[in-house]
Formats: sequence, structure tokens, C-alpha cells
Amino acid sequence: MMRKYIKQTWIIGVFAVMAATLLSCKKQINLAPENATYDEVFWVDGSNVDKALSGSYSMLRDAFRADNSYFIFGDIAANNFALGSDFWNYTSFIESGHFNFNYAPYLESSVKNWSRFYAIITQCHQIIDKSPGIPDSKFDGGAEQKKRLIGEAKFLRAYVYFYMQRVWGDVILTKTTFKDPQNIPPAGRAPESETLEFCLSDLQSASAMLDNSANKTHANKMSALALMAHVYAWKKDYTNAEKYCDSVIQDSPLALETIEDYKKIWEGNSQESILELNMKYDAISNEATADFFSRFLTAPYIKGRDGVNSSWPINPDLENEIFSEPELRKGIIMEDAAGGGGLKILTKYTNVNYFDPNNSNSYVVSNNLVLLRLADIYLLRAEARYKNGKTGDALLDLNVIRERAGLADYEETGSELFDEIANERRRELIGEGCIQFDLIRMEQLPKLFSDYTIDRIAKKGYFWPLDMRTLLKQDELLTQNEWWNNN
Amino acid sequence: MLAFLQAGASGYAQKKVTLSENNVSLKKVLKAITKQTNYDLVFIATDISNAKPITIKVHDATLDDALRLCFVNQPFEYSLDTKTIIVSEKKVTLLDEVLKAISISGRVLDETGQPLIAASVRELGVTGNAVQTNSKGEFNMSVAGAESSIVVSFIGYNSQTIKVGSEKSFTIKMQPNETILKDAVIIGYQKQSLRKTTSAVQMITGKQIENLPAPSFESLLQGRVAGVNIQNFTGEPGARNTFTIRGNTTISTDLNSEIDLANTLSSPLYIIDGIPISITDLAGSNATGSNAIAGINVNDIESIVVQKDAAATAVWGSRGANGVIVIKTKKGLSGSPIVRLSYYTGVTQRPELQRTVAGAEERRQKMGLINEYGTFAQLANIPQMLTDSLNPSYNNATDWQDLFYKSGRVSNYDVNISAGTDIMNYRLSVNYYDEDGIVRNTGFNRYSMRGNFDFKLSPKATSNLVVSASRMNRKRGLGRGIDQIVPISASSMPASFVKLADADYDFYYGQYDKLRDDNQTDQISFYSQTDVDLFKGFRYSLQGSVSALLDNRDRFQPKELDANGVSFAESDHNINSSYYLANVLSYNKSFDEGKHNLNLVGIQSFDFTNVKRTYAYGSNIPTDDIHVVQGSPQRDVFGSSNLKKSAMLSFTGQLSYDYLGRYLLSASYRTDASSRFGKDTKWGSFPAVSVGWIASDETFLKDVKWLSQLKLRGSYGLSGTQPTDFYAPFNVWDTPQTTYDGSSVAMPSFKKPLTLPNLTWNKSSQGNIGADIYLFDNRLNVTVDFYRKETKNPIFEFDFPFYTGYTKLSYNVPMNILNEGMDLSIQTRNLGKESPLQWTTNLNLGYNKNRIGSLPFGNRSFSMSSRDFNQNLLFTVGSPIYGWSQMLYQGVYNQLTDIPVNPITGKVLTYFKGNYAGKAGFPNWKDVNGDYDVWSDEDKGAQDGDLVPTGDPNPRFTGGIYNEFTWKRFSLGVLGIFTFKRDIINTFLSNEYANVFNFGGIANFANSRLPDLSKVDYWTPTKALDPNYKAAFPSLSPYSDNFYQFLPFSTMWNEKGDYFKIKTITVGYQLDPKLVGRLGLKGVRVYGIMDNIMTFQSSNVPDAELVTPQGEYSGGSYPLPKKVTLGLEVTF
Repeated sequence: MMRKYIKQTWIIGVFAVMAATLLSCKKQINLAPENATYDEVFWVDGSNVDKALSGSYSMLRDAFRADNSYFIFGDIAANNFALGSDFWNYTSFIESGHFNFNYAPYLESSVKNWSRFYAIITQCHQIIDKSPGIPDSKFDGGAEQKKRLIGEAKFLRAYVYFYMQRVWGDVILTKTTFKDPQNIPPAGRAPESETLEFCLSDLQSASAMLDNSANKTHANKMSALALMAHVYAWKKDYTNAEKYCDSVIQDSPLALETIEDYKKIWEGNSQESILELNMKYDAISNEATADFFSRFLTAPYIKGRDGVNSSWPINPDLENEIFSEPELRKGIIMEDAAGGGGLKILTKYTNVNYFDPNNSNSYVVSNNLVLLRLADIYLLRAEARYKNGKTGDALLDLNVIRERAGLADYEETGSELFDEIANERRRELIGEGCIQFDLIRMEQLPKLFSDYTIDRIAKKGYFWPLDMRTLLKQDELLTQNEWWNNN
Repeated sequence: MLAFLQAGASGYAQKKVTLSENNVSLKKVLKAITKQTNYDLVFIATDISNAKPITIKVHDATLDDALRLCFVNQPFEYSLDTKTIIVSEKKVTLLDEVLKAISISGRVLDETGQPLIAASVRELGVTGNAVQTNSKGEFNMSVAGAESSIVVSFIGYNSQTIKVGSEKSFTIKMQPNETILKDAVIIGYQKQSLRKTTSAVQMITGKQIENLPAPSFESLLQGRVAGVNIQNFTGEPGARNTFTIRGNTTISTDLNSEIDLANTLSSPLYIIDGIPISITDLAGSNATGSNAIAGINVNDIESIVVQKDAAATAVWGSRGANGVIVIKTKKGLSGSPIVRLSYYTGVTQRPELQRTVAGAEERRQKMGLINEYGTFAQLANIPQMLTDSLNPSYNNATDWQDLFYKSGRVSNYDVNISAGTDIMNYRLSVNYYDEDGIVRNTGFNRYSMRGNFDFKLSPKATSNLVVSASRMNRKRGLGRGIDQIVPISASSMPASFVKLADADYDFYYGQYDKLRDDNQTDQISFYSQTDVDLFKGFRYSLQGSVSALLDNRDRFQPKELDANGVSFAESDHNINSSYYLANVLSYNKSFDEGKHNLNLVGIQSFDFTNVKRTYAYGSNIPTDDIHVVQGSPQRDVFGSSNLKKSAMLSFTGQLSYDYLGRYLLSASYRTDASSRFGKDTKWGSFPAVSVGWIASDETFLKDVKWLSQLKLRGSYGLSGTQPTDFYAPFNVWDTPQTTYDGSSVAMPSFKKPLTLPNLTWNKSSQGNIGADIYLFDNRLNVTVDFYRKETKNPIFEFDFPFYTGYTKLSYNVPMNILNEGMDLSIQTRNLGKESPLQWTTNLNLGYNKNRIGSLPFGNRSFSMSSRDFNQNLLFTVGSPIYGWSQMLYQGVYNQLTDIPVNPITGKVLTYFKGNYAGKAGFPNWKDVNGDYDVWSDEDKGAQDGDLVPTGDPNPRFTGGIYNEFTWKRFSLGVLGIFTFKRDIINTFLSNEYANVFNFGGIANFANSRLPDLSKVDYWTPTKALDPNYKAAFPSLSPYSDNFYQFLPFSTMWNEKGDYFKIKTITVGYQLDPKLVGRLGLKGVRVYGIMDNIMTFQSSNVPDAELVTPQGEYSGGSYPLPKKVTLGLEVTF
């Protein structure tokens, strides 16, 4: 009898232990990360959407900084700069290298690969698609904030597509978040018109959703209008381009800085700036870096950098070609390079901060990257007015910029005027990552560089080639830009 | 003696027997009976030779009657089946016998006369009447009477049955059993005898590896187990090397980011005293880079069982696909305490270094090249370092290699105590292992403690507790990781002319006392198992373990050592803790008089791992007196902590069944739910089935004298692997510290591959057919296995459309990887049993062919970069994992006219996408795509350029051969290991030749070390004046075009990686026990061991084993030291 009891107790005990462990274990196998947020739980409130949007700006900043590609595409390719010997692998991009964008040793992943920009597109898609599902009450600023966040995402999406279109030509156009990752339809390149149409519709709604209250480091209504002007100009729809330039110039709180305050433009949040990416130093947030703007600089700005081996001095030919007239601006944006044998450096971005007094090797350049500013829009309107047959108005706009620069008013009215508008852009906007796109749009390349033959222009040889070796594996329908198939 | 036999009458159950025997053995009578009746005879009892002799006289008796007469007063009983007589030991309860008991005592000795402790002595046929020998090998017991027999057994020895008779005192000398067939192995949760197991397993006893000078046991299995491929790609003490069972199934997607190259190949699951340990998981929470299982003292190991086929590994379900290693540590023995001391010490010796030239010879060699190739203008501009041989700054002959290497010392101290009483046995051991590295400022030491306790709670319940703790400290030297163990890259060492300052010497000699790099790994674990016999045949067992691995690295570097003058300190603390709990219910039953034996086990288990990390970093530490993260300015401080959890719930059923001990069947079914998979795809099931047939037990083979045992086995089953990422199905976001305009940012981790919420198990199926053939009284034992392992749908990252923002998708890729091969192990006893000299040979050979069976997207091939981006790794159907594709180097273009000319353009063949036109002296690379340009890739879409698949770094044949000689009290063991059919690349030499080129001008050429060129017939313009000249090596002009021609993306540096290595020689001598006894000791053994003695190889690398798992010899990895040790082992 006793034995039987003992036996039963054992058995009950055993099953109690088994049952207890089983129950407690079942719960434990459903574990979710505690060290990161993830897709399923992220889209819950406005503060997260705000982080995602800041993430997009930050990704755009990183995308531009990658191998200094922002300046490679906009300035190096336009032959604005000479290259110090440290940049031997950039030399094929300039005139002496025959603008051979195909040969880009160690730079393939930045100049021949656009994947990093698609990450920004995807991020914008998500903000635009997911935010409407989050109740207004979850946004600190209510429906207003929600509208603004979506509007900025739409602006950024348009900005990125338009940028890619100008760098690599026709893009793969995705318009929404992909739903089923295991079933992504293969996609070929969309015609330029479709992409630009998509950009314009995004910008249209962005301009409706945004106002002018935001900081210059975020997109606002003016940025949307200014970018629309650029998109229309790229489309050669100069009527609309002029219209949107008008709205930027007339209806906005913007104003040109005076020549005395000229360098304030790149210090951040100037009255002339329309949109800029924050890259300024503060002790905590690591938004400033050493390697981006410092390409333009030598000593004394960068201590110990005597000689131009590690920098990009201004192409000496430019001085003879377009900076031959005396002006005030030139003295502000150019200085002699230290040990550069007469070469000049660009001095738009010179707020070098040696934040650690004990360490002269560690510094950052604390300037903002201005993406759109009023002077650019004045010159764009000059171009549009010229194309729309309003030569006199075009001269007015051009001379606004010339006057500030301390140049005499321009008076020619024929095609020389158009070329002069282009040259004024080259003077005014040098080192701002946009000249190459202006030269393409204004069809200046064949005039300036003999490498741009009729054939090369016809085959759009000004666009950058794609790294097919990497990208074709990811998209079978991708095609190489025509010119680079054989060059 | 008279024997009269007559065929019995007809009738099946009523077989008649006629016998007339006088005082003959039971066996003989039974044989006679079976002959008359055509019945089979089956012995469940081990040995009936000690049965009472029989006198019997019957005529036409029934079979049953005759047998009953035979078994009167025997310690055996019989039962009848339709066709079989089964003889088994009589089951008599102790009570029945107590009255008749007589006391006996005795002593059990091993073959050398040493007492065997804890040998089992039991009375034949009396269940429960058993004792163990004490520390002197002695036993006392009571047996039924003079007719009783006792059975003495000990693991690794042949059992002996001795009739008690009139003797009261016995001295029993045991003979070792070579086949260790009766040893039990644990398959999953089931104990099976090696004889009856149907799995492909191989057992290594602790004795085979004890006292060998190595920090960790795994490397000691090299060459001892067929099908296990161990390659020591680093000799750094305390680091982990590769250990694959039956081929690699892992593809590491970014070799350059791997911190531990051992992770690039698949590793087995370790079960240490019942605790499952995933070495890959542990590696994921490792800051010190120390081998997480090196905390186990080699001398604590009783046995290691390597389980290779699915029959054994499927029981471990989701983690067993790459094989399972089951380790049992030594347990306590009964009797009064015995103490064993063991000590060895010796030297670790610097191996041969790469041949190089120094001083005047170097200057001569460099000037030779300059004079040979330089133009007049170039000759006018020779660096001062070369011309100014009188300048004290430049006229040195520093052997840079010599600076970093040295000889070291290895010592090991072991103490263990073992004792036991009726209610408890224990064994305690303490160990200290210390190995100096042969690279300055490196080394490894370990303190470890282990206690094994067995408790007898009640007659029906037992419990045990295993406690272990260890501390490892590793000095990592001044190098920068596995490929660069010394502070200066091996392939770009400075010229010997450069003078070193005293501070440099201090630094390189590691005497820089301000530098701090503490790497400490602490391991602690508790395991407990309680067994309860519930009721007939049922047993419940509760197993649980708690273990923690604390892995800490603390560093400080003063500002003098930094190029920018910034000091830093960091502290990286990791805790990996695991809990494991299992409920095991087993049922054991023999039916039908023991003809059917059944064992069933049901298991429910739960595993939980928790990984925590705390990391702090600070630079610009205020003063060099502070060696921790303290007082750094705010902006220079970085800190983070991490938490990862993983859990697994499992249910397992195991069945083993045999009929007559001859027809064997095992099956298992496991189902696992892991937290590392998607919400609805957590569960995976892993069935396995195996059968075996001991053919030699069949009647028709019974009389084949030379066949001791023949067993045929077959198995098939599934097992799996888990992803190393604990949160694999989650698309996690990045939340970097960087802000945008002051606001914090978040974005999906686009750099990581996109993952899917339906990630699930990848399964490996494995089929195995094997045979165990033991011949000539076990003098020639052969075990052979053929297998085919197929890894399906591994979780792997694959290219993904960039327009999603992601460029890789990580999912269960529909591809498969095949490993097919053979394991062969042969053991021979080369001399007769009676010979005083005994010589045994043990050959283990594994053949494995690794290939990719299929790839997704219509078998589209893909490429990856090798480590350091030197060559392309091509993954294509039919090729192995990590196979290379390179350009084919076909020699040298001796004359310009030898170089092909494009008939269309009339231009000579170019190099590097048209950038360099061919010249005489250039290497001849095959223009595979026929575009008159040779290069490794193209810009125009075609991926492969002139690349073709070339080498395979996966060895085809691996194994070892072990010879052991014993003569009297001497023993000598020689282990040779080998690897055949493997390709390797001498990246080191490649990089050294690349130094000839003026990457940074002629000054760099002067400043860099060159290989010894004295025996190289390189192309020169002078030699090429002879039109018949055939250069053995391309032009070595320091002024030549540089298109990386010496980097190993061509086959120029490919070599055969075959080697045969005399790995270990052990010499031992057991002192005369009588002599030792006078000192009050039980035994003394002295021994000497030489490790890593000599290598036979065809390649030019210093050691053909010392190459990465991907086959590259970079020259920067830690050399494998030679070790010579002397040891002493004392038992008292």
C-alpha cells in the first residue's frame, strides 16, 4: 500500500514537472528582438514617422557623400576641378581622361551603382504608404504634422528620382512599396517622360501639403516649387519652368544675400537658401565629417596640408575662360592653394572646426550642403525667359546675379546671352554639385569639350554607366546606357 | 569420455532427443541437442563455459525434458521457441541465495599489473549481486557457493568469468579489448552498445588523447576519426580551428568580415556531459576570439563519440546536420580516495620561417633588378637607402621576422581525486595549462576545475551533478587579427636596412607596459540528472543544466602608439548564458524470453540562450596612467549594450528494437520549435530510421572461423541547422547615433539583406550504408561507410532587385549542396596475441566530394570575393563551395613576337581592360573570351572576363594513421595525419613579388622586403637576347607597367596542398609497480611527447596545413609550433 503511494507520488510529480516546463516553454519560443525596432512594429506613431523621414534625409546625405559622388557628378564631370595625385582613380572623369566614366577603379559602388538611392526611394514609399494608416492623434502635431511629413517624403522621392535621372539617365521607376518580397516583378527602365511626370505629380502634391514654415534643412513649399521649375526646364517645358521660377522669386520670403554676406549661404539657413542638407558640427550628433568639403581645401584651412596632392584645386583653365573679368565674388570663393604653385582652391566651405584642441589631426568641415538656392532660380528663370523669347527679362535676371557678384551688366541679346547665362551658372554655382546637369540641359557640352561628339551626345554619353556586373544579377531587364555599351 | 549421438525422431515441438554424455560441458551437450533437433541456439548469457559439467543419459526424451535435465543446478536457464533454444542467466533473487553465501575477495589488475579501479565484479546469474573494485583494485563480496561464477568487467577490457570453486582469494589479470565493442555509446538519449548500434559512430577514449599538449581536445581528434576534417589554419594557442564532419555545408557570404575563419566552415554540435553546445552561437558572443570550448581539460575526458550519420544526428534535430560530438567526462570511482598527479612541461619551438634575404644580399638583389631593367635616367635616381650603404640608418640587416618569433614553453598541471561510498561517488579535478606563444606577447593559459558527483538517492533513484568552471586568459600579441599576427603585415615587411629605435624594440618585444589587452573567458556550468525507476521497465529522468560563458576583452592603447596621437580604452563584456531542461521517459522491455528487445524513449526538452553585451569605448583618455574608459571627453565616448534571446522547444521519440540481438532497428522522430524562425514556420520535424544486421551471428556464418563479426548497417534521416542570427525573420531597423539636423533617425537596415517572416529550417538529408567487418579474431577490423548528405534550402543571402532598396534577400534559398563520400577505418593487431611486443595500427581515411547540386534562378552561377579580394570565388552547379575562378597563367611571353595580335585591329594583346599593351616578359594569361584583352572582369555586362574555374580548397582525402607499440612497460605511439587532393594559393609569395612594383615609386621598392630571388629565373631583356630563351618567371622590373600581375587572380600561385605530417610521437614507460609500491605509490608513468614533428609536402608554403579554410596562405597567420614535452604521472 505504502509502496503504491510512493509510486503514485513519483508519477504525479513527474507529470507535474513535465507539464510545468511545457507550459512555460511554449511562450518562450515566440521571441522578438529587444535590441532593435523592426518592420512589424515601427509604423505606429508620428514620432517614428518623423525619425523615418529624418532617416531619409540622412540617407540622402550619406548617398551624396559616398566617395564625394555629389561633387563627382556635378563638378568633376564638368571639368571644374583639377585633381591632386591622391585622386588618381578619378582622373578618367575629367577632360584629360576623356570623360571616361567607365573606368572608375574602387569607385564602382558609388558612381556606377545607384542602389543607395533606391533605399531612399523605398524609405519615402514607406512613409507615404504607411503614414495614412496611423491615426492623426498619434502625431504630436496632429493632421498638420502628418500632412507635412508625407509632403516632405513626396518631395524627397521626386528629388531623388530627378537626381538619378540626371546622373544615370532612365531609372527603374517604382511607385509604391513592394508587397511580396518573394515576388518582385522584373522591371525595365522607364522612359524619362514617365519618371518626370511622376516627379511632377509628387511635387505638385508636396507643394500643396507643405508651407514655408520649416527650416531650410527640410523641404518646404519653396523647395517643391523650385524643384518643379528645374524638372520642367529639364523637360524643356520652359513655360512652366518660368512659371514656377516666378512663384519662387515673387511669393517667397527668400532674398539674395549681399556680396558681403556671400559666404553665409554655405554656413546654413541663409535667406537665400531654399533647401540644404545639414552637415554642421555640434558636439553630440556627428553630422559633420572631415572628408567631404575638405576636398576643396588646403592649408591654412586644413592644417599641414601643403600642396594639392590631397585636394581638388580649381581647374586653372576656368580662370582664363570664365573668370577673366574682374569681380568681387571671385575673391571670396577662390584663394591660392598652399604650396599649389598658383593653383586656386574653392573657399565656399571653409568652416573647418578643430574641435579637439589636443589633436590637430581631427577636424570636421562645418558647412551645409546647399541643394537649391535663390540665385540658381534667378539664373534658371533667365534661361527660361530667354527660351520663351523674353530676352530683356532674361537679361534682368542674369544681371541680378552679375550685379551682386560685382560684374558689369551684360547687354548682348543673341545666343551669346544664352551661353553667358550658362557661364554665369558655372561661376555662381561652382562646387555646388550641379554644373554638369546644367551643361547637359543647356547643351553646352559639345561646345566646351571635344570629347562630346555628336555621336556621344546622341547616345547620351553624358550619363554615367551602370555597374552591370553587380546590377544585372539583380534585375535581368536592366540595360546599359547606350553609349557605354561600346565605350 | 563417451559420446553417443543418435538422430531424434520426427515431430516439430515434440522433437525427441537421445543423449549419452558423461561429465562434459553444457555447451557441448547443447550443441549435440541442436544438431539432433535442428534448433538454433542463442546465448543471451555472455559465457557459459563455466557451467557445471553434465552427465546425462536419455533416450527419445522430449526436447524440453532433456533440456530441463541439463539445466539442473546451473546458473543458467533456458527457454524454447519454435525453432530456437535461448540460454540466459538464471534470475535468482538475492534473498534466495543469501543463506548459502560464502565470502570471497580478490584483486583486479590490468595488463601491466596496475590495479584496475572501479572494475565491476558480479555474480553470474544473480541479479544485483555486484561490487566495484576499490582504489587498490580490490573487492570483497559474497556469492552463492562454490558452484557460483563471478564475472569481472571493465570498460575497454575483455570480461572474464571465473568459477569460484574452493578459492577464496583471486588475482584477476584483465586483457584489453581492442575492439571496444561492448562499450556503450549514447545515441540521442538512448544508450546503445557499440555492437548493436546501427549508426555511423566512432569512439575515441580519453586514454588515446590524454596528456597531449594542446589547449583543446578538438585538435587532438585530427587523424583519429574517419570523416572528420580538422585543419589547423592557425597555431595560435586558444584559437579555434576548423572542424567539419563529412564535408562543409556553410557558405560565408562575406569572408572579409569574418572575425573567426573557423566560422566559414560548418561545425558540429557538441554535447558535453549532456549539455548541447553550439559553438557557432558561442562564437557570436565572443570578444576575445578564444575558443569557447577550450575550457575543458583534455585529461578530464573519458570518451568522445563522433556521430556522423542521420541515425545519430537526427535526434538532435535542428542542430545536428553537421554532425554531433558527444563528450563524457570522467566520473568518480568507488572506494577509498585515490589521487592522481600529472605534470608535463616542454618547449614550443619556432618553425622554419620564410626564406628571405637581408643586408648586403638584399641590396645586391635590389640593385640587380634596378640595373637590369632601369633606363639611364632611372639609374640616375636610385633611392639613398640602396646607394648609401655606409649610412648607419640604412646599413642594417634587421631580420624583421626574427623580431616577432621566439621559442616558448608549455606546461600542464593536473590533480584529480576520486573516491566513493555506497551513497556517493565523486571525482574532483584541478588543472592549469600554460602555453607561451611562439609569437611574442601571445599565449594562452587556463585554470579549470571539474567535479562529478553521483548520488544514490534510493534503490530506485540516482542523481548526479557535474560542476565545471574554467578561466582562460589569452595574450593576443600586437597583431591585427588572424591574418596578421605580427604588427607588420607579413607580406609587406620593411627592408632589412631600416634601423630600429629602442622604443621600437620595446614595442615589438611586447614590453610596452602601458599597453593593455586582457582577454579573459570564464566558463561555468552545472549539469544535473536524476533518474527514477518508476515501475517495471519505465524510467523517468530529469536533466537540467545551467551554463554561462563570460567573455571579456579590455584594452588600452597609449597615445604614443597611435599615428594621430589619440589614446583609447575599450571594454567589451559578453555573457552567454544557457539553460537546458529535459524530461525523459524511457521504457525497456524484452519479450518472448528475450528474443525481442525493445527500448522506447520519449523526450521533451527546452533550451534557452540569453546573450548580453556591454561595450564601452573612449578615446583621448586624460592620462596614460588610466587604462580604462574613464574621463574621456563626452564626444569621444561610445557605449552600447545588447540583449539577444533564443529558445527552442523539442519533442523527441526514439525507438530501438532488436530481434535475437541480430536484427536491429532504430528509429527516431524529433520535432523542434525554434524562436529563430518565423511565427508560423517555427516547427520542423526530423525523422530518421536505421537498420542493422549482425550477419556473423547467423548459423550459416557461425562456423566461419576467420570472421569474428560482420555487421551491415543502413540509415536515412533528416537533420537541420539553425541560423546564427537569433532574430533571422525580422527586418530590423538601424537607429544610428548620427542624427539629421539634431533629430534622431531610423531606417531599415538596407545594408543587411531583406529577410522573410516565413524563414524556416533548412534540412539535410543523409543516407548512409556501412559495414563493420572484424576478422581473424579481431586482428583486422574494418569499418566502412558510404554516405550522401544533401543540404537543402539553406538560409542564405541572394541577389535581390536593387529597386527595392535592398540588394540581397536572405531566405530559404532553393538550392542544394551535396557532400558525398566514404569513411574507412582499419584497425589491425599486427602481432600474435602471445607476442611480448604488441603492435597495432589504426588507419582512418575520409573521402569527401563537395559540390553544389543546384542553384536558384535556373542554376544561375554567382561569384564572391575571397578574403582580401585576391581571387574570385565561383559558385556554380557541380563546383565545390569556395571553388576559385582565376585567369590561367601559362608562362611568360619571351619575345614580343610571341604575343597574339588581334587580326581585326592589328593591335597586340592588351592587359587590364586595354590599359596596357603586351610586352615581352609579361605573363601569358589565357584569353578565354577571345577579345584580345586579358582581365578578370568586364564592364560590359559579362561577369567572368577571362576567368575559368580552377582550384578547389576543399580537401578530398583526409585522415591519419596511428601505430602503437607496447613492449613490457614501454609504449610508443606514432600518429601521422594527411590531407590529399586539395588546392592552395601562396598569397604570401604573391604579395611579396608584388612589392617589386613601385606602388608608390622606386622608394617603396627600396623600402620593402623582397623574396629570395636567387633561384628564380625571371625574364630580363638581357636573357631574352637569346631567341631560344624560355623564362621561368615573368619580368621583375621595378619600372614596369603594373597591372597587379603578381596578385593571385591568375593561377600563377596555385599549388598542391597535399601533405603528410608526422603529428605526434609519444613514448611512455610505466615504472615497475613493485618498485613504486615501496614508495607507497600505486603507479608512476613517465612519458615524452613530440608534436607537429615533420611535414612532407609538395608546396612551397612553410606548412601546407597552415592555410585558410579557403585555401590561401597569407603568411600572416600564426605558425604551428613544434612542441616537445616530458611528463610524469603519479597515482597514489
